Amino acid sequence: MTGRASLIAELPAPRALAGMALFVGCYVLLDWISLIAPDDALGLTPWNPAIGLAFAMLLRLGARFVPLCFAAILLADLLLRGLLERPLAFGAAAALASLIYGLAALLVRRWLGGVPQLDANRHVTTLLGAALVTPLLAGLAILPTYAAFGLLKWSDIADLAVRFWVGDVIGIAVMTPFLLLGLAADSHLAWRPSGRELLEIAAQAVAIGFGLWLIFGIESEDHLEFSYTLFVPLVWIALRRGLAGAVCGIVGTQFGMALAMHLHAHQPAVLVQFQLLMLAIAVTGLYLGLAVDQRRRAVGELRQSEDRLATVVRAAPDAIATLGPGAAVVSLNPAAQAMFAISAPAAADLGRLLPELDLAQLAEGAGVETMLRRADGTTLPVEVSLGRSLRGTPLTVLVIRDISARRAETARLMERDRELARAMRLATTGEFAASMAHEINQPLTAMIAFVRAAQAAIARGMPGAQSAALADRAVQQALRAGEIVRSTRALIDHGEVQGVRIDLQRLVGEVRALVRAEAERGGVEIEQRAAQDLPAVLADPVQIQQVTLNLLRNALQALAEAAPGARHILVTLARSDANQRQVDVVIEDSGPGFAADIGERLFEPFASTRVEGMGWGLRICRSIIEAHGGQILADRSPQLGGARLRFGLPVWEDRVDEA
Amino acid sequence: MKPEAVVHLVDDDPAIREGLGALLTVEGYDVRLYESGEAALASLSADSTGCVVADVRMPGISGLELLQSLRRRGINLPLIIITGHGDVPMAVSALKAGARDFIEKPFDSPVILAAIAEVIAGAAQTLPGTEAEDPELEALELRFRLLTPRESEVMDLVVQGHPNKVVAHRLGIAVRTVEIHRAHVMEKTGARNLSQLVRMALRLQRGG
Repeated sequence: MTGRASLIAELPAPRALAGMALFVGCYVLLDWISLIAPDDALGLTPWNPAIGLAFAMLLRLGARFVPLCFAAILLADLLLRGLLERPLAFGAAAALASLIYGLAALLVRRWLGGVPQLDANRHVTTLLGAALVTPLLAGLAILPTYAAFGLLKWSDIADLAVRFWVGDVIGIAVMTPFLLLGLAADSHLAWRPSGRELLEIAAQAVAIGFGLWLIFGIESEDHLEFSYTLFVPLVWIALRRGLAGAVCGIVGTQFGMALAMHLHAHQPAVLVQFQLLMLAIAVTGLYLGLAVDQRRRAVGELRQSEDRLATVVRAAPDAIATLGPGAAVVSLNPAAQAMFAISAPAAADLGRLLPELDLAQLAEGAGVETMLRRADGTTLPVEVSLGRSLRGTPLTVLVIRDISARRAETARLMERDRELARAMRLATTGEFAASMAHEINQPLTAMIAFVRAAQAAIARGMPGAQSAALADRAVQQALRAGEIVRSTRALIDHGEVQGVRIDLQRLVGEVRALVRAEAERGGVEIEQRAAQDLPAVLADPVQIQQVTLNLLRNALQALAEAAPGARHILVTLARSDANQRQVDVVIEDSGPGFAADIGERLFEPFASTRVEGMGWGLRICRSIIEAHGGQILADRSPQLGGARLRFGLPVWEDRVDEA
Repeated sequence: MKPEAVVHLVDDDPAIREGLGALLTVEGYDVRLYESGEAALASLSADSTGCVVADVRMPGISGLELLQSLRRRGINLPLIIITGHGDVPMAVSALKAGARDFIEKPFDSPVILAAIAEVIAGAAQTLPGTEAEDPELEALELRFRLLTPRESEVMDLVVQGHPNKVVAHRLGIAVRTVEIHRAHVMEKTGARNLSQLVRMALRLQRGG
């Protein structure tokens, strides 16, 4: 066999040799003490712990252990059974035993995927299965061999077979688990018991002893009816110590029973009965110990898992609240306690804390933004997400995240975006200068006209008051030019609005007066409508006049292309629908309107097809309105069918919220 | 014509010299015209009377420098500064340096005439401690008392010539809020523009 070859091929280390010697020695020793009332040359007793040892080693070390096994059996037979008289017979039997048990061990290892760890039902069951089946096969092979060599009578085979089988089964069932656990790397048996534990072990040992005494010790008869008492200490040990304890208890009980049987000298048939009892105890102990181990492991894993989860929940920066049935708060993690400013879960009323949230509607996973309202009245913007567990008691978990930082950041970014957009769209100084120059030309031209008119009045001998009045109007135009420059400078230099309280009705009326002549020439009707409750606005009057003037002039120009009689301009002043603190000024005309796709280009210079350099106008208007915090929008007038331009101005407020 | 009613007009722009000069002459003032600060310094002495009206921006020495030079020479004629647009900060420095008033171009005649009249009247007051009961000043004080503390704060910074952005930063409020406070100040004081507000505040300071 390859194992044998490899064993010879490798030079065993001194430690290995010592181990082998130890094994052989132990084997022989166990075989020797198992000879309770041997009544034949074969020394077959219903107790074979030696084979348990051998099987354990075969399981641990595999096929290469077979030769050593063979050697051990031979040696035992030599010392205990008179091998030399029938060397062939014993040799054959030993070989058969080694091979059959070796094969069984191999199969068990295959089946379990390695050395049995005895940490699952499968392992114990497989081991016991092997323990039941293999001796059957071994017996079937070995006993006829003995009979063939004349070591036993064929008529005795049945009896001997029973003894053989029972002995091997018990031997394996008792010794093999004990040895497998004991020899394992992280052996449970290598543990130092405390004083209390020692006391308990002593008590358990006493209990075993007591059971044995009840069975064997009272009078000179055996009281098999008390055999159940031996289950008690074993169950006790198994519950307290698990499988590790159980195997020790089993071994202890077995050895105790063997000793008792030895002292009492029984018939083999009675021995078999006791051994079968031992088997029952052993099987019970093994499964119970295993169950206890498994339960402990499961509890340990559960605790660890819970602890891990609790750590995650505790350390989470977001608030985590668990809710039981009826949305009652069951637990709050530290972050939640801090966020709600509440320490006891019972004090948390979700209806009050998150009034805008409808828990029933909230879908799992999706985050919903809402406001948290604490008891002291402070609020916090938060994002709430939900998880539901439907196994067992329905559990809802809320994760609540403070998004005030996110909101502030978003607001900051938006503000920055707005400012950037504004800065980018704010016309360059050059463009403003051009616009200003254009705007000033109007009053300058008017001035010249007024002064010339005054001169003409004097030359024609008209009343002095008339020329004085004309001269006065020239002065007004000059002052107006000054205002235009001042206000535009403020916008260019600092982007600032020097606002005052403005009556829009009056301002628009003034602008209309300025374009009256032009409107009459063009046959255009200008209508002004204002809402009843129109409030005053806060704006720079000169700049708003400029904007209104520009828009009206644009409309007048557009209407030159419209049919006479259908030239209307409508100016509407009203509080904005969308924003209570804003007044909307709408200027619409019945002209051709804008090209559908003109979009943003409308606000670029020279976007319009009009000739007179009005192209600067809309861009400046937008800069002015945006400096006021409003917006200019251009679309189609639903009423008049032409262009519609709208802008908003802030309402004049007597109170101010400091921001 | 009172001997004190001399107006020394310093401006490099001939149109201003002639136009304003004509206006003042018609009103009865003795007008002397100078086309630069240097020319004025050459002519003026400690014996000179009346007041000086000077443009703040001139090619040579500025109106402010003219003021400082006059004072160094012991010439204490009251001085009115004429400023252009956006020169309020400069006007405020001139006031701090000792100018009596400032006027922003373009101005209408009543404004300059009132300013000159007041300056000359103020120079005539030699008795200290006799503060004429000024109903106008009282009215001004009343109006300024209507300002809320915040509005006063904003006004104080604005009349020093700071733009709204700077005011907002100094007070830790938004620019929009400053605009609103400023508008309230204009409303309550009745000032039509910034220079008017500055002059009101100046008057209040002097009179109070």
